[in-house]
Amino acid sequence: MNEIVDYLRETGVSNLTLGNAILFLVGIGFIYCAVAKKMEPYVLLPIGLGIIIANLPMTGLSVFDPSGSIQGSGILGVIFHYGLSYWNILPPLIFLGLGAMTDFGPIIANPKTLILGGAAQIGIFVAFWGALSTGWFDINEAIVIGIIGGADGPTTIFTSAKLAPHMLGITAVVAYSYMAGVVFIQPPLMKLFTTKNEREILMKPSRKVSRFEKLIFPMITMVCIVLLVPESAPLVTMFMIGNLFKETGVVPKLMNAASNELLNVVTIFLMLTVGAQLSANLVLEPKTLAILALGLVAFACGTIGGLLGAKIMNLFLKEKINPLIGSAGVSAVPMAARLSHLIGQKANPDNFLLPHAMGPNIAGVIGSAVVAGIFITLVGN
Amino acid sequence: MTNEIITEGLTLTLVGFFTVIGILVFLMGITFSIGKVANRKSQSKPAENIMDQSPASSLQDTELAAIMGVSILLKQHSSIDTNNPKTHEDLDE
Repeated sequence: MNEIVDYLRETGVSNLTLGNAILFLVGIGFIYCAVAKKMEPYVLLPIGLGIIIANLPMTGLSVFDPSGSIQGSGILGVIFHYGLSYWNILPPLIFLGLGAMTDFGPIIANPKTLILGGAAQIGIFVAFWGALSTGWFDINEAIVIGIIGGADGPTTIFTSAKLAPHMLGITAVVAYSYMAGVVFIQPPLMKLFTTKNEREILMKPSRKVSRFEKLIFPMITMVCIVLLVPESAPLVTMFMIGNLFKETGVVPKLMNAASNELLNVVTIFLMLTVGAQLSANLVLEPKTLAILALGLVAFACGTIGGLLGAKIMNLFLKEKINPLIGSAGVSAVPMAARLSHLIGQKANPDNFLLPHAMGPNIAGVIGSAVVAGIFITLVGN
Repeated sequence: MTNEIITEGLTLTLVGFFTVIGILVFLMGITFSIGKVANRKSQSKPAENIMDQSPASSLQDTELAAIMGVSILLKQHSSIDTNNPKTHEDLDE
């Protein structure tokens, strides 16, 4: 009889808490958004599954045993330790795949849009000060919360893993959730901070970009950024190497491997592991609500920064740009650019803003990686 | 917030923001320059293309086109054995 009671005590059912049940619902919510609403399915589905796995008691899947005892660690714990908190190699590998899928043509055709990618980084600094002013977070944690405003998942994860590994799960989930929710967050701000006349501004089609320019741009960008901010090298170099695989055109197999097989494998590991960090004891505390609120502030301020940046640029430009493309500076590739295009077309059906908005969109990815590198340089060493 | 945190926060903000803007402005300048060089290259290319795709309107052009045509024909047959009588028939055609 005692054996049966002992066995029952060791089952998951008897160890299940209310917190676990709440997180199950959150996980199911993520899976619902991915499957039924098709919102960022490649991200939200594995994260949702990871959340459910992490909240199944007694599995030990997310545990890492630093003593190295045999069978002492779970698969997700090992991936988290070696892939993120110890070596931090998964975000750069994601950047390699993203680089192989990126076209720098819009930036090269209209280099002015690089500035919009910088203006949209304002959200990072606003959220950073917001986090500091609560008094609940130290400098490292405030930086990680601020980076959510870059709206770039891999950069958020990379910075969290370096500066505040205990916050990695929640910051990554908040970043990806807001990226998925860009269609709800950005449009009201875009309408609020632009006039109807500004939204109607027509932009000429971009010029054709030569192969020479597409080859030289990633090389020069990589060398310049890495020389000035070496800590951003893991992200920036991988991004540019992936892009050079694509643009040289001589290694199609490497390009395909980086943008398909590698990216897919790393996405499985990264997203499952991120989801598995969201156990009830880590998430259900007031700090988490503050991170959620500050993440939203970061995202909103990034959008406003991009819009105002474009409006300020228009004061000096002969050929005006449509300020809607400024909001695409908050990375979230390509959803933010697509939104600029859709809202621009609503205002003026002759508008075709997508290629123009891709410029600030990609500049935002580079900008947030650079800001992360600067922060890590200043406080991480 | 202590003075120390405020000072550190201000340093991070100012260095972070102005460095990223500085780098992006620098890249913008370089990209403009690359664009100019590439444009100059592409402007000089069409002149060569015009020679290649001449409509042969003048006698000189017709002669040039004929010479080029022959050279292309010879190139196409350069790997063929010239002692073979069949080759000569092909070239005559």
